[in-house]
Order: sequence, then structure tokens, then C-alpha cells
Amino acid sequence: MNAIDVKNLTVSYDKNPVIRSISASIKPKQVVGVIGPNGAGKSTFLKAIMGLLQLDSGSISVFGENISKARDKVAYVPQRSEIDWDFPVIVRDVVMMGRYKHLGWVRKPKKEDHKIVDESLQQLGMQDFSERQIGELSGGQQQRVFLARALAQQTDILMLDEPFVGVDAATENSILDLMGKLKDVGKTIVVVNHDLSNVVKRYDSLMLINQRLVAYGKTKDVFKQDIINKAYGGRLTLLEEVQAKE
Amino acid sequence: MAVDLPCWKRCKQKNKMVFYNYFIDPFQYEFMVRALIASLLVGVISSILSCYLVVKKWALLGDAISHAVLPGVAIAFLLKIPFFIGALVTGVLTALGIGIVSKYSKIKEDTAIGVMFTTVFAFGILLMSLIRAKSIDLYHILFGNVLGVSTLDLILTSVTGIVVLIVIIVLFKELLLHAFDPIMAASIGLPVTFFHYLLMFLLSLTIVASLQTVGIVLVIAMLVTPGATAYLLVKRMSTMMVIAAFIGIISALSGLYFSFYFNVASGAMMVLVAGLLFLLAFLFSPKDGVVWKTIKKRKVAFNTRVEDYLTAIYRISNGKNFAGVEKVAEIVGEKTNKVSSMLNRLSKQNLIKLINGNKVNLTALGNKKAVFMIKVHRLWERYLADKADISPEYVHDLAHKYEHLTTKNMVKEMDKLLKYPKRDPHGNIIPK
Repeated sequence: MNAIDVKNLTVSYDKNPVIRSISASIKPKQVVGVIGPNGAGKSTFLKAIMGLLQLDSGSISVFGENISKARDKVAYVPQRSEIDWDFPVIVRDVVMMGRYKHLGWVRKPKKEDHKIVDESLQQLGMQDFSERQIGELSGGQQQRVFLARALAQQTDILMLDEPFVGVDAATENSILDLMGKLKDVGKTIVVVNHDLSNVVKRYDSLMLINQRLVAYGKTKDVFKQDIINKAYGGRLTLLEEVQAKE
Repeated sequence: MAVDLPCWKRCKQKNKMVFYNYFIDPFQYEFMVRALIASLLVGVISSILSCYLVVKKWALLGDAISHAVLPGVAIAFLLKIPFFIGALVTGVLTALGIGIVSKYSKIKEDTAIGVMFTTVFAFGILLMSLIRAKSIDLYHILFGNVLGVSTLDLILTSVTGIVVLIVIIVLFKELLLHAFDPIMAASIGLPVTFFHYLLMFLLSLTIVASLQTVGIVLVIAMLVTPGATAYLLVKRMSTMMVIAAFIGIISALSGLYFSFYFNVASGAMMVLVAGLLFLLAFLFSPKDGVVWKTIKKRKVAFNTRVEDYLTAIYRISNGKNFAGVEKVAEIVGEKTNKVSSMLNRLSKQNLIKLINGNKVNLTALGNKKAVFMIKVHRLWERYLADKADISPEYVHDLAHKYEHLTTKNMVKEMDKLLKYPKRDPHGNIIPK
């Protein structure tokens, strides 16, 4: 069974389509990079899969089910810019948020949950920082905290939105290593990247999007100059123009 | 009081009584007891709720809702229903209206707030001026009248308080996630839109409950200031709420006592105390008080100067036994009188020796420090060039900035990481 099935997906913000009829399937147990220029609809694509947006058309299923029934199967690591780093939470609080879905409404964390939080922190090497306010950490450490939170969610799919922005080389490497390890234990990882840095070459497959699906396949087949030019080159400017007049 | 006590004991007890009386006396009056309970309730609820307003940047929205209750009060008077209900209705409607305007036009939320609440508030004033009734006093609605709290008011305030507290305690973790990361909250299936309006409803409830105590104009202060103060002091939402509630209690009590003894407006006094506590936290918060930050900054600035002087003297006197004061002044770029006072300080610290007033040389201690600084500077240049891929022509300025902030441990680590380099990118020798 596919981890994620997207069929004919179209999503708009304020009537302007950001994603146009994308169809793609993601097989389980691999690292998939979703790449494309700024404004290509990458984050929108992730949010649509998580069931956070209203779809104009199309359907999405996660392990064969509608997302509303599969919310415990997807974890999400947000873009750095979406977080208020002055917010009064400490590292442990953030990672514990990964347990909320399992806990259910109102209930307080149990011993088991604290254990899972400790293990997740340990896996990212952040156990010594658990009492720090999140703003007191470096960019790389902050990214690790959110990865630890995603681990604590114990989901089959992890979605990472620009995890390498504002991160040091050491963290970049350890995130890539962690992705490999997670894949080996059977997880599916979807990563959004806007630049074509070297990390892209370490993904199993690449999905190039620029509003529509430009190319999708094994990394070595997709990572070719002419295909990339196609994604980073021409937008559908005429279409955009006519839609602005609607 | 027992009569058979010896005199000195009686006198002492009497003195003690007098002291207590300052605190207890006011509450011989029933209206003061009601005022006390009302202020404490309002102080605690609004302070706890203020934590959400601060982290969600809702201060302006809170201000809008508080002003929007005015027409509700007037309409309630005309329809002869409790003020509480009218106020709540117009408060909630305005909050919804702001949401609708910013969602369905390109107007941003702050502008929508500015338009909506002034319009609704003006409508309220207009209604009040039409009514001109003696039984409803605009001044009291605007600025509060805690001494006139009725038993019905008290019951409504208590019910509000209980509702708000129960919701916040029961849904603490859900509301925390909602405020911190609404995207994740939605992704695990929490009803984020419901939470948004729930918080707005709690906010309206609290504002209406606070009307009698602090009034429309000042209620926003209690809905922002205690949370803002606690925000400066702690690093967790739960402790932030406890501290905010404590600040709310202190403000409420002092407001009440001052108004009793000095006959000043209690609502204003309450807000003023909260504001003063904020000022204290702003200046002296151990976490990031402005005073400590300034002291630390000045200390760093002074150490930077010391280190710059020592390395300058080291460079100039290299090969000679001394450095001319004028040459030192030229390199550090400071005026002669500033330079000579600094040199005097350095010589008192036994880092340099002054010769004839116009020449200096380094003592053994000063020499050691200068060599260390040069080592740090050149190591940084090496590090920036090799590890951070910064072109050698730019590394000097950066290294100069970082060298003053570097600890001994960092130097050791850097040295090891770079495998004990012999020269910096410009070819200068890095001292051992």
C-alpha cells in the first residue's frame, strides 16, 4: 500500500490556485524531497496532505484512508519562521506536545509519555537542554527539538518543511543521518527544500513542483539540468494574469 | 482583650492591634468585603487570561472588545435586562465583526480593530447621551466603581471566574498547543477555530465581569500588564500564569487599600500598581532585565578596551622596550585624555608600567594577556577562513569582534578543532 496517494489535487488561496492538478503516490519506507522555487506551493502541498486546507478538487489518502482517520500517522516539523521563539515553553514541553494526540483530550502525561519524550530527546542529543526555553537554543538545536517532537508522535510518516534553513553543518548531517535511520525502521519521510543544495542528492526520490508536478522519480533521474530548469524556469504567467482578473 | 494582663503586655498587644487594624478595618463594612472579593476575582481571572493575550499578541483585540461593551450596557438599560448580558452580546459581536472584516477584505486585522471598536464605542457614547439616566453613570462604566459592587454583580463575577478557570485548567495543554503551534494543533485534529472563538468568548466574559471593578477604559491593563510582567520573569506558560495571578492579587489589594485610605479611584490605583510591577520586572528581571543587560554590556565594552590597549601596546613595543603613548592613542583611536586615564587604570591593575608619563611597557601579566588575545584573534581568523569559508580579507573584523567574547574553553576547543595551526590566514604566527 502507498503511504500517500494524491489524486488530481488543486488548492487555492483567495481564488488563486497555488497547486494545480497534482497526482502522485509516495511509497512507504523512503525519503522523498519535494523541491521547487519559492512560491511553488511546496508548503501548501504538505499542509494539504495533512488535511489542513480546503481542496478545490482532488483527493488525498494516507495509507489508504482519509486523513481525518489517519491523523495519528503523520507528524509535522514546521518551518522555523512559523514559530514564535520567545514563547514561554521549554524544550521538554515542546517534545511532550508530540504525545498530545495519544493522550487525548484533557488527560495528563503518564510515566510512559515522559519516557518517550526522554528517548526522543536522547535520539537527537538534546537531553541536556530539556529545561531550556526554546529561544535560548541555536538554530540547529531548535530544529532538533522539533524533530524530537515529531519522533515522540511515533507516526509512520514525517513531514519536514525546510528543515535545513538556519541550521549548522553538524545538525544538517545529523538530520540526514536520522532520516536514514528512520527510513530503515520503516518510516516514510517527506522533506520540503527550496534550494538545490547537496542534501537533495541524499534523498531516494525527488518531486519537482512548480504549481504543477514537473517531474517525479528516482533522484538520479530527476536531478538533471534540463528538468530542473523546467521547474525553476517559467511559471504559468499567462494563467496567473487571467486569474487575477477573475 | 484580657483586662488582667500587665500593662506593658496590654500596650504591646494594643499596638499590634492597631497595625492589624489597618488591614482589617476596611472590611467592617459590607461593601468593602464585596469590593475585596470582586477585585481579587477580577485580578486573578484577568491576569491568567492575560497570559494568552500576551503570547497571541491580542492586546489590541482585548482593548477593542472592552470598548465594544459600552453600547451593550446602554441597550440593556433600555430593554431592562441585566447589563451583563447586553455587554457580553456587543462584545462578542464586535469580536466576530473584526474577524469577518479581516477575513473577507484585504484590510489587515489591526486596521479592522481600529475601525470597528471606535465606531461601536462612539455608538455606545451616543446612546448614553440619549438616555441621560441617573441610574446609570457613564463615569462608573468607563472607570469602574468597585465600592458599588452589588451582590448580583458579585455572583456574576464569581460564576465568570469559575467558568474561565475551569476551561483554562481543563484545556490547558490543548490551549497551549493552540497558542504555540496552531498548525500542529490542527494536524492532530484539534478544533482550532473553536479554540479561537472560545478564547475570544472567555475574553469577553472576563471584560464584562471586570466592568464594575476597573471599568471599560482600564480593563485592558489588567488583561495585558500582569501577563507581560510574568512573561519577562519565567520560561513556561504554567508558571507564567501563576506569577501573573499573584501580580493580579497584589494589584487588586493595593488598589483597594489605597482607595479606602486616600480616597483615590481604586481601578486606576490597581492598574498603576500593576504597571509599577511591570517596570520593576522590565528593569530587574533576572532573566533579561534591562539593568543587568546594561551592566553586562558595559563590562564587556570595558574588557574590550582593556584587551585592545594591551594588544596595541604589545604590537608597538614589539622589538623595543616601550610604546609611546601617542602611538597607542593613534592605534586605539581615542583622545589623549581618555587614553591617559585608561593607562592609569591599567597600571593600577599591574598590567602595564608607565615610564616618564609618555611611554609605557607591558608587565609580565600584561604581556601574557596580550599574547593570549593575539592567539585568540589569529585562531578566530583561521577558524573563520577554514571552517566558515569566509574570505581572508573579511576575517579580521569578525575575529576582532569575537575575540572579546571568547572563553578559555572555547580557545582550547578551537585550537584542537583546527589541529593546532601555526599561522593565521595572513601568514602571521599564532602564539602557543
